[in-house]
Amino acid sequence: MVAMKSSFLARLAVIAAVAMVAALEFGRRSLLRPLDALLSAVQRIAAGDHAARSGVAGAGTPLGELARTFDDMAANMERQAGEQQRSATALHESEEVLRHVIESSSDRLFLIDVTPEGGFRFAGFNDAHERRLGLASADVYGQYIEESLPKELARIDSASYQRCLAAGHTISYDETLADPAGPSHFHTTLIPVADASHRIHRIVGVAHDVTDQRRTEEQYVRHQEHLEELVKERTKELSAVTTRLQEVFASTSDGILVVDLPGWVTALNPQGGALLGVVPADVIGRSFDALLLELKDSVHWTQGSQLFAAVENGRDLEGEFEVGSPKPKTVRWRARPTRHAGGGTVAATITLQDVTREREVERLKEDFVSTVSHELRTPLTAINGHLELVIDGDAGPINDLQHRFLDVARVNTTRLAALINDVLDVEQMGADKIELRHEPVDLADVITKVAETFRLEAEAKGLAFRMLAPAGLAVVGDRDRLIQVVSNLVSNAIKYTTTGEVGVAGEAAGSGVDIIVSDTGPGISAEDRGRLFDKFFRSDQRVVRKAGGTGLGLFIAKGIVDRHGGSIVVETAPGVGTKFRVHLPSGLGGSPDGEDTPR
Amino acid sequence: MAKILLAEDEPHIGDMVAFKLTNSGHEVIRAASGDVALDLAGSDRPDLIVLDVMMPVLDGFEVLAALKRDTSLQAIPVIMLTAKGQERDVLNGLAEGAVDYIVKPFSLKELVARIDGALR
Repeated sequence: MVAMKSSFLARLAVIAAVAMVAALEFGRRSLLRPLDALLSAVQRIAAGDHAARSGVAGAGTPLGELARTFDDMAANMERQAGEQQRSATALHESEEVLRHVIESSSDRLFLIDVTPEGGFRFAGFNDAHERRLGLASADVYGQYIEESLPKELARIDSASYQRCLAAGHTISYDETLADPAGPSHFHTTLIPVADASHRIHRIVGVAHDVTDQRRTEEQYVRHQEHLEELVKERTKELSAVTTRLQEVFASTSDGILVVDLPGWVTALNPQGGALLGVVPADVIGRSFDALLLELKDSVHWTQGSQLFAAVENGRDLEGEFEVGSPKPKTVRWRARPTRHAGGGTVAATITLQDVTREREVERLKEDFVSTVSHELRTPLTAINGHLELVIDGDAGPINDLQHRFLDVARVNTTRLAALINDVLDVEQMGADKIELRHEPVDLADVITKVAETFRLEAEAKGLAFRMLAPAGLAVVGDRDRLIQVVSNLVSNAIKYTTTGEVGVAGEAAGSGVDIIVSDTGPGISAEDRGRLFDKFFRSDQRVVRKAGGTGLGLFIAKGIVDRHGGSIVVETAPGVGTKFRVHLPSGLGGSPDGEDTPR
Repeated sequence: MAKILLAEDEPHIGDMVAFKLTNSGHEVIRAASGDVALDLAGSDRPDLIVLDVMMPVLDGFEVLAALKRDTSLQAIPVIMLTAKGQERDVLNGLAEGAVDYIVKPFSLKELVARIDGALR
C-alpha cells in the first residue's frame, strides 16, 4: 500500500496537484510496471519455466522487497526442481545397475512375500532362478509357491522359510536337490525383511551353486583316502623289506660294520661284533677311533685310520688284520663308500671276513709245495751228479754207447728238474709270490744264451736255427726269468716243428723291445689260440700230445711277461708256422704292490 | 789243492761232491750236521766251506751266522747249496756273507768252477 505523507494544506494544494501528476507517473512506473512484471513471472513459473524471474529491482521499496522475495522463492523452487530431477535420474540409474546385477548373477536371487497369514508368495526372481524353476518371474508373480511349484519342492522351500521366520534373522544352510543329471548342491541364504510394524513381510533369498565345489571336495577327499591307503601299503612293504634286511644283516656270516663319515659307528652286526670281540650294542653310536683305540691290544688294525681318507674320495680300501690271542684270527676287511642318492659319500661300509682257515690252508699248501719240490730235488741232485761223474770220466773211461745212454739219463733228470721248477713257479704265481729282479738286461745277451742252449737240439732235428741279437737293446727286468721265457718258446718251437727252421730275434718296438720266436711248424688252430696261455692247457694236435709236457710252460711265460709289464701275442697260420711276439717295456711296468684298489 | 769242509746231510749228494772234489785235487772234510760243521771249521781251519742249507741241529744259515761272528773263522769263503731257489733265499745268503749260492740240482763241474773261483 502506498502511503502518502501530507503536511501543509496550502502548499499541498499546488504540490498535491503537481504531486498527483507525478505520483500517477511514478505509480505507473514503480507500481504498475513492477506489478505486471511480477504477475507475468508468476504466470511463467506456473507454466513450468523455473527460470522465470520478476526482473524488478529496487531494494528498499515494498514492491521491490516483494519482487525480491518472489525471486528468491522462484530460485529455490528452481533449485529444488533440479535436485528432484537429479535424484530421480540417480535413482533410475541405480535401479538399472541393480537390475543388471540381479539378472546376470549366477546365484539364484529371489524375493518371497510373507503374507500376514504366514503364506509365501513369489515376489520376483532373477534369470538364474527362472532357469532352475522353469518358470518366468512375471508369470508367477504374486502366486503362492504351492500353486506353481511341485509339491515336494514347495514343501521343502516352505519349511526353509519357516525356519527363517522362526529364527528371526538371516540363516544359511546347505541343500542338495536331486536332478536328472545328478545331485546339485547349493548354499542358500535367507534374509528376513521386517516392515514398520516389525512383522517379517519379505524374505530375500540367495542360493549359491556349490555343486562343482562339492564335487571337487569329494574328489579330494577320495584322493586323500587313496593316498593314505597307498602310504599304508608302502609302509607295510617297506617294513617287510626292512625286517628282511635286518634279518640278513644279523645272520650273515660276514661281519658288517658301518661308520658314518663324521666317524660314528652306526651299525655292527653280531658276526662283526664276534670278530672284533665286542658287543654291538656297546659300540653303536660311539666313535670309531675310540673303538680302535680301545681294541688296540687285541686288534691290530693299522690301516683303520686311513680308512676314511680313502672312502671319502670314493675309493675302496682293503686289507687284513689279526685279532685275539693266544691263537689270533686273521680277518680280511674291505671298506667301501656308501653313497647318497645324490652321489656324495655318507658312510663307510666295512665287511669283515674270518679268513683264518683260508690263510692256514694256503700256508699249508705253500709249505707242501715247497717241501715236495725240495724233497724231489734232493734225489734228482744225487742222480744228476752221479751221472755227471760217470759221463765226465771221473769213474773211469766209458765207451761211446755208454756215453750216449748215460747222456739220455742225464737229459731226463734235467727235464725233471725243469718240471719241478715249473710247478713251484705256478704255485708261487698263484700266491702272487713271484719275485722279479729289477736290473738292466741286455737283449742280445738273453737271445744269445738261449740260442746257445738250443741250437744243437734244433740242428739235431734237421732244423735250421736263426738268431738275430741286435746290440744296444736293453730293458729293466729279471735276466734269468726272461731267459726262462724265451727258452720256453724256443723249446716249444723245436718240439713241434719237423722241418724248416726256428728263429729267435730281437728288435726295438716303441719305447721297449720285442723278442720274436718263430717256427715253420704246423701252426696253432683257431680254437687253441684262445686257450694257449691257460694253466695246464695242452693242444690236442698230435705232434703236441706226442711231445708231452705239463701245459705249464706258456702259462708261466705269460705270468713272467705280465709281471714285467709286457705282453705276448701269437701270429699263426695252420700249415705255415707260428710266431710268438714278446713285448717288454723299457722299464718295469705292472701294478704296484699295495692294498689300495682305486675304483 | 785246498782243504774244503763239506757240510751236507744227504749221504749220496755228499758222496758225489766229495768224490768230484777229491778228483779235482782237493782235500775234503765231511760233516753231516750243522753243529759238527761248526766244530770242524774251528778245529780244522778249512780254506773253503761248502754249506748245505737244509741240515739238522743247525741249518746252513745258522752256521753261516756263527762263522761270521767268529773272528778267526770270518774270512773263510762259504758257498751255500740248497734246494730252495728263491731270490729271497739267495739274497739272504749273499747278504749274510756267503760268496756264492748254488741251487740243486747243480752241475758238479759248475760247482768245481765256482769253488776254484772263490779260492783265487
